[in-house]
Amino acid sequence: MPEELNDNELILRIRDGDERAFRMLVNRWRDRLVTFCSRWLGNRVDGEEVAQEVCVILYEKLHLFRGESLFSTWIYQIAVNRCRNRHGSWWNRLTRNGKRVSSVDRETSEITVVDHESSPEQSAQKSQAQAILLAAVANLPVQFREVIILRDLEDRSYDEISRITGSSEGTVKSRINRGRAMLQETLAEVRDEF
Amino acid sequence: MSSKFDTIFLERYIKNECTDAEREAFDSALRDSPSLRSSFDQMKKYAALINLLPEEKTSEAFTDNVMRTIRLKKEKPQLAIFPAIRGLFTREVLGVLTAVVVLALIFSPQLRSVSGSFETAVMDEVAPSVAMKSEVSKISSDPESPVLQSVPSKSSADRLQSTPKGLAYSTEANTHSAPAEINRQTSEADAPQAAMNELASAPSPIISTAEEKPEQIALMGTIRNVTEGEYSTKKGISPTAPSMKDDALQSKSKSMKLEESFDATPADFETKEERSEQQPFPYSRYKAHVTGTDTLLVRLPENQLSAFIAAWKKSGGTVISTDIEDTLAIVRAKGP
Repeated sequence: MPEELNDNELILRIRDGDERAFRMLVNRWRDRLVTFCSRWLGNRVDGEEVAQEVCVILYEKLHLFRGESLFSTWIYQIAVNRCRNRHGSWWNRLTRNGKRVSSVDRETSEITVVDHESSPEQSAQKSQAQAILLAAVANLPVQFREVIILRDLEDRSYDEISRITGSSEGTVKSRINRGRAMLQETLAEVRDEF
Repeated sequence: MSSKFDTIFLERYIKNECTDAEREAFDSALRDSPSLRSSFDQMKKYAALINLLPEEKTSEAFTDNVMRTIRLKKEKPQLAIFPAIRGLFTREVLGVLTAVVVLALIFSPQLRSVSGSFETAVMDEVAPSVAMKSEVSKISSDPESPVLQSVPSKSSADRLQSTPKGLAYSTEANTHSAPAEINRQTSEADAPQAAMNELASAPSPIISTAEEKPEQIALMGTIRNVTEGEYSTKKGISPTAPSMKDDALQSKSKSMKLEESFDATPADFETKEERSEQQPFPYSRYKAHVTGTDTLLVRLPENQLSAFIAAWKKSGGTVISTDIEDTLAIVRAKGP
C-alpha cells in the first residue's frame, strides 16, 4: 500500500474493509495522539490508554465521518472528549486527589523529557525546565489546558481549536492568553534555568 | 501586559505573522514600556521552551493492541449490545422493583398499624367472637366498667406507647368490674365477682400483692385478646367448646360491629388513657377469650390458673374444661 495516501483516502479504504489501511492510519496518528493525551492527562500511562481508546472509537465510528471538516479536527475532538471523560471519572478524581504535579515536585514529575542534541549538562537543564513546563501545563484548569496544548504544543489553528473544543474563537483566544499568563507565573520561579 | 499586545499578538510577532504597521507600533511601545519588554522576553522563552518539547514515541505494539481490541469487540458483539439494553433494562426493572417495595411498605399491616390504620389492625388481630359483641355491648354499657372499652381515639403513636394492642386495663379499683359485668348478663352477679375478689385477696404470690396487681388486671383486660389461630391450635379445647372456632372465624367480620357496640364515653377513654400510661399492659403473658355468651377461655401460667380455677369454683362459677399443662381453661360464670 502506498505510504503517500492521505487520511481521507485511507478512510475510504477502511470503509471498504481494508484493515491494513486502518493500521496505517493508526501508525500515522498514534504518536500525536499519545503525546496529546499524555499532556492533557499529565501522564504517559493514561495518555497511551486513552489514545488506544480513541483509535478503537475511530474504527467504530468512522462511518460517521462525513469529511465536512478536517480529519485532524475530528480525531482531536474524539481525543478531547475521551480525555475529558477520563479526567472527570470518579476513579480518576479519586486517584488524582493529592497527586497533582507541581513545580515543587518537579524532581518526581511523571513527565520526562530527553534532549539528545544538547550537551549532557544543557540537556539535563533543559529537560528539567521542559518537565516543569509540562507539569505546569498538566496543572492548568481544563479549559485553559486543552487550548494551550492544542495551540502551543499541537500547533492547531484558532479556528480548528474552536471546532475541537466547541467554543468560540474569541473564547479560545481569551483562554489561551490567560493560560499562558498562568504558565508564565508558574515558570517564573525557574526562569533562571531557561 | 497591554491588552493590545497580549500573548496572542506576541505569538504572531514572534512567528512573524503580523503586519508592518502592527510591528512598528509594537516596536515603539516596546521601547517605551519596560513591563511590555519583560512580557515579551517571557513569551519568547516560553515559545522556545514549547518548541523544544519532543513528541511522545510509541511502538508497533500500540497498533497491535488497538487491532486486538477491535477484533475482541467484533468477536463478542454482545458487549456492544449489552450497554444499549442495559440502561433500558436497569431503569425499567429497578423502577418496577422500587414501586413494588414502596407499595408493599405502604400497605403492609405492620406499617398500617404504625401509621394511622391502627384501629382496624387491632380489631383484626384481636378477633373477637360473635358472642363477645353482645358481651361487650352489655359490659360497656356500664360507664364504670373499664375492662372492655374501646381504644381511645388518640393518635396511634400514643396508643402504641400506652397499650400496644389497644387493650385498656383497669386499675386496682376497677379490677373486679369485668367479671361483675359478665356475670350481670348471666344473672349471676355474685359468682365471678366473688371469684375475682378471691383472686385479688388470695395469698397467691402472683396476684395477691400490690406489685402483682397488673397481672390480675391482665386477666381482665385480655379477655378479648386471643386470635383464631391461637385458639384452634390448642389441644383439648374443641370437644368442650365446639362453637368456639366458629365464633373465632366470624370474629373478623364482626370486629367493626364490636367497635360500634362500645358505648364508653370520652371521659372513660381519657381515664383509661391515663391509666394505661401509668402501667404497661403485659398482654403477651396472659390471654383469655370470650368464647360464648357466658363462657371464658382463660389462659394463665399454670400456678395462676390453678388459683383462678379454685377461686372461680369457690365463687360459684363453673369450669367446663381445663388443661393445666397448656395453662388453658374454659369457665362459665353460671353452672350448667
